[in-house]
Amino acid sequence: MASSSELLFTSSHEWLQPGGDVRRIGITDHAQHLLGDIVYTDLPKPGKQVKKGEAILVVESPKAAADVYAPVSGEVVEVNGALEGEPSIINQDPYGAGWLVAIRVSNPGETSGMMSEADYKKSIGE
Amino acid sequence: MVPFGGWDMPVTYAAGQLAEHRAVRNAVGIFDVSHMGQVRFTGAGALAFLEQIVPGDLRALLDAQSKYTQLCNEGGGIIDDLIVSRLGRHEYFAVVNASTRVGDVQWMREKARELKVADCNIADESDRWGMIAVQGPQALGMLDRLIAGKIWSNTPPFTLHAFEMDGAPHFLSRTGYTGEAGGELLCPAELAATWWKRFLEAGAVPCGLAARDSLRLEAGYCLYGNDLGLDTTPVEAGLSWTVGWKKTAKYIGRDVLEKQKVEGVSKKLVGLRTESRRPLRQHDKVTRNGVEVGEVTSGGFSPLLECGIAMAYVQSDAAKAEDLQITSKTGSQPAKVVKPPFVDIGLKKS
Repeated sequence: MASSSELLFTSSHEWLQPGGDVRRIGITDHAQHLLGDIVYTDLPKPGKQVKKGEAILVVESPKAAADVYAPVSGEVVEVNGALEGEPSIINQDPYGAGWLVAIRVSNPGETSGMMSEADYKKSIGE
Repeated sequence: MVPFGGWDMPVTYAAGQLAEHRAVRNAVGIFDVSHMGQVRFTGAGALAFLEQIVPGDLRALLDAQSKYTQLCNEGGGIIDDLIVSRLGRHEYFAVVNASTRVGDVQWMREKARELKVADCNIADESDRWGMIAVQGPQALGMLDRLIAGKIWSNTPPFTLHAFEMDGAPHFLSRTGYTGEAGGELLCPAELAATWWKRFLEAGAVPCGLAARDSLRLEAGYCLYGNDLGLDTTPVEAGLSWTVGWKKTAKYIGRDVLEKQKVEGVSKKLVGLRTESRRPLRQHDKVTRNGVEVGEVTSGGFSPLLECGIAMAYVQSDAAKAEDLQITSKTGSQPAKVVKPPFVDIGLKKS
């Protein structure tokens, strides 16, 4: 699993890479654990414009379908194609190989309200 | 843990749903199904009574043979589905669902009074019995090693065998809810934990409700409360093969079932599968040219087929359609009607 201590977190259980124009997003280890075995992802197409807080994709396990919300506004420039055939990568490595999409961030200031890993863990009672 | 029919039950154990599912398809898994109810019928009138309350024909059962049937009301609606076994000429044993157990027994006692049944004692033994399902291609071998006195792998499906162990009465029922070989062990409730540990030590994988559901769905077995209920009849549910059309008893609901058999039904339970991995969900709509023609009653993801599978009630004229769609709030996708079981696991229906 990639190091999660540098990532930024949302209260809706997404993570965002901290720096750069293009940043990957994914769901947290806590979120994948709650969902159980992930068997399906409905990823957006590259080029899609997304707004912070908007549901941009769905991750599904037999138990539940979960919307994933954009932690920042911008353009989806890449999606993790490996997930289509093997969505369980999200369960195995949520902060690394299980990333979902990469977004070209249009307003870096939007990340100011996001949590550190320590604060996120506190928020979920870990 | 989740509440289930008045019991707290695990959705998954440590392995997780998919690993548990695969353990049952490839090796052996165990399920704590102690929540299931057990009812014993004794007396010279037991067979005559049972013949009047279930559509299944029980007359041909020999000792130790079991039959899958339903408890129907006057309208043919399904009060519960159950497995009835003959223990002896004047003794029968039924395994019923947990959530319906109390109502079943009340219904049976009421009917016994109304029908003026002579000499049939109805005993709810549910609290006495623990029950562990042992399922998978290696299940019978494991039972052979753990339970002396019988070669379980030589016993036919749908039989129920009494045996004694640790000085206590037990049954091994050659049934299950996964489509795999195996059995369901009935032991005194206080021995259930001992048996659970025995199976774990022998290498069985503990499985929760989630795997139980995906396994039974792949096998095409109905779930009471989802696919069967008071608003469905055995004919509508595709269970005509379990109805004793030649039986002589005037069983409750017979008029409705026979009428449906002759005149047809307005809705039918069908199997549906998609080309996508998206799990299908209960209450997803079945549509045809944008018009709703049915609703999914059980849906999920088939780990074996790696696609969405479902059971749905559809209008009869759509039951063979090749242009059905499954529509949920996240969109529509084409679905193909298939005759369950969804996976080829050598299922036997009797």
